[in-house]
Amino acid sequence: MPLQEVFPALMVRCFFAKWGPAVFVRHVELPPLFSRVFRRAGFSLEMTGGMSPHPRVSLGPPLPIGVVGCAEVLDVGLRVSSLEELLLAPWREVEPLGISVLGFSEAVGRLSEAIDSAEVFLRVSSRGPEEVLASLSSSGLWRSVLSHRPCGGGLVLVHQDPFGFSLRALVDELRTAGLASGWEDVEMARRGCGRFDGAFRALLPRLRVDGGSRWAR
Amino acid sequence: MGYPLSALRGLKDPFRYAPSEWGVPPLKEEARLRWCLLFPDVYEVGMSYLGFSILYWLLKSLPGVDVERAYAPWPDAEELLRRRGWPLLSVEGKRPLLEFDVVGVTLQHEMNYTNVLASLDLGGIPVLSSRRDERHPLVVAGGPGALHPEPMADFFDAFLLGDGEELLPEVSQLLLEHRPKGTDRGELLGMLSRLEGVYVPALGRRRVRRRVVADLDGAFYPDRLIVPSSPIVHDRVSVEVFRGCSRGCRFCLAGFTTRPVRERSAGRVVEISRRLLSSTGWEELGFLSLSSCDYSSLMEVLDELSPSLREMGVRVSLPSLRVDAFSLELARRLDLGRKGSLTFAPEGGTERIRDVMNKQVTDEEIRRADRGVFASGFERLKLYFMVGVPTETESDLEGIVEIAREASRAARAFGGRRSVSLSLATLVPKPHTPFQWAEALSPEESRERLLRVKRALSGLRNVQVSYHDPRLSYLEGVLCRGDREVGRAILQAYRLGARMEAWEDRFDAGIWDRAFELAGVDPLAYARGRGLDEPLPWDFVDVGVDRAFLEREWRKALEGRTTPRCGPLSCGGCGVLVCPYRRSSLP
Repeated sequence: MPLQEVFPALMVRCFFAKWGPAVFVRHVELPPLFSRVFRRAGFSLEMTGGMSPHPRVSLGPPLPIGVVGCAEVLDVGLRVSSLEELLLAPWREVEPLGISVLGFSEAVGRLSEAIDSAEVFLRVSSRGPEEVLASLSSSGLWRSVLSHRPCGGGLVLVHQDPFGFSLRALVDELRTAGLASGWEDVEMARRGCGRFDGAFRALLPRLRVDGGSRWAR
Repeated sequence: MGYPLSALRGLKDPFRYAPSEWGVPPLKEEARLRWCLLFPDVYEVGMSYLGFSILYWLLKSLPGVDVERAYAPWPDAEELLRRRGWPLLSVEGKRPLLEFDVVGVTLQHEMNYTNVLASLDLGGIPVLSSRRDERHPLVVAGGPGALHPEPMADFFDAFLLGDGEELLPEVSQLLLEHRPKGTDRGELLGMLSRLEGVYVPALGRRRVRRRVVADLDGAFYPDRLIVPSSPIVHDRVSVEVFRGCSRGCRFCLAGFTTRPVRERSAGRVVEISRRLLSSTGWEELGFLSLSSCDYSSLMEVLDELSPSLREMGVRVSLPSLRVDAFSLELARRLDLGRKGSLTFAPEGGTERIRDVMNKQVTDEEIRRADRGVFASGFERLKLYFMVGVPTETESDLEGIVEIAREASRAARAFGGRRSVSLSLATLVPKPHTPFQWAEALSPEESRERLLRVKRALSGLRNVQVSYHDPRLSYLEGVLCRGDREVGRAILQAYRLGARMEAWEDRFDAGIWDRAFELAGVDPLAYARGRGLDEPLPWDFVDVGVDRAFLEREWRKALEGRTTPRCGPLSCGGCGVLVCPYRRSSLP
């Protein structure tokens, strides 16, 4: 019996961290990377139809090259009977250096609908958070910033529309203001994506874009 | 410690210098001999070379031996390293090349020669072999370029000729025994030179015979591969199905220097494919050889693998398809049409010139293939041709134009966006081939011929014509048939900044003109045709093919006569040993 009939595809939301050398992996290269990770872990992927079938993968908001992602997200069609099956897989053995699978949830709705904001840590070398804040808050980009707070010598910003908001533009703004000469002076990490909670003025909970997420071992 | 990631962020493709990978084996702390395999091109090219991968895992499997990889930096990264005073590091242990016992370089392409020198220098190793001493690693070369070693002889301590599966264990064993004891470098090189297949330039020329793996099934093949997270040129599991080629195309270096044909059994190919696909997760499987359609067990392997490949969503790629019905049928069966295009290499415009090359493809076969490609649903047909083949005339160039026109008509007949892509190059006469005596066409004459074809096709909207820079082909011809004098020009070109010149947009002909001038070397002396009685700089390298056979083939080429494909009933008498088709008496 074909695999498709034994296991109908389950759309799974996968949370992962992207760090170290994997920060140089381009956003568009994540689908083949994860397809291989899942295959190595022994899972079968749902394929699209048409002339050029490929694994069904939807990506979360793009992350520029060089930026760490603490809790990134993508949806993938897998032929599994339940999420528990995924949790038992030996992820540490199949992940490439710099990619860490964090957890899974069942994908409910489109990622673009499930995510309306993202939380970013930003630190500029030799510049205090107040100086950076003063510069950015006067820029047009600030309209997209929903909340901010100082953290570890830098700033944590929650901004809306991570699919459209450009983190590069943030660095360009710092460059124009003379606070940084470019990416080499900027440390940036996206801490997570999700929905903004107006009452808490924060992105909560970070890993649970929707539904109950499960942690990988 | 590797390079700080923040410093790499501004580089073009920073993943080259800090790659995210899966499947990298741990370093062997107990190792007593450390190799660094250096690929003299960028990461994504080097990671695509199957031979490099085989040798990496082979060395890793040897007791007491460890191996790491290094790749040549793109000029922006070289500039960064030099500015910061950072050395070129290995990928795994982040060690400078200087800290290894042996640096092994594969010479795949002449236009990478200056990258070799740049990488050694960045790794803290003197580029000239004569300047190295006990503090430095041994620097050895392999690959096709090692079979005509003289232009690079001043830069290497030793050349390893032939199949690395045979040579590397022996070389490693010898070094394991003697290098830790502090054996004098000269003595060590002397011992190396006594191994069959090793040429040590400092000890002078002697006849050196290429090493050959007789039984491919029994030869080492990795059961694991490293999977990069960023795309590489050939992003797939590659399985070598056979080595050598039975066709005898007279321009082909590999066709003459990898003889005889040695096939891997169907069972072994299936076993390797299954194991590597499931362990790596790659979604493509490539059967590698010089002419994959000639693999006698191809259908058996495909029948065996097809169900599981379909289940896994794995596609199959077959490089080097021939212009014939079998290839087309195969392409249909493998559903290669998903890729949208199919590539054939008729190489010559007329049957006459194809006979000169011993390509043996008829006009009718090409016509049938053209129609078949579009009838099978492919959107694009790519055709490769070369100019500058000995005896070429105007009508051979017109023949290329005519083939392209017919293909264009076939594309139009099937409608849609179907198109033809024509890729033209100039013949590079290679050592150890029957064309080693041929003249390399001057860049001016070559450009004139290429443009003549391009202009004749300019009115056809569904035909795109591109051509390889004729100055590059010319230079390749000079470098590959050079002697040690040419090495002086390579050194000058490196000093003048020639880097990554296999990439056409990086090629600077002016640098090379100046380099030849400074070195006092006349490139014309190397591009000219050679007499049969003239000594050649690679004569001392015995690749296994008799010189008398090459001479016969050269004469037959000039007369437009063909030599049948090697087979049980048709031995051309090339002289190669361990060949199943060899017969002792010649016709």
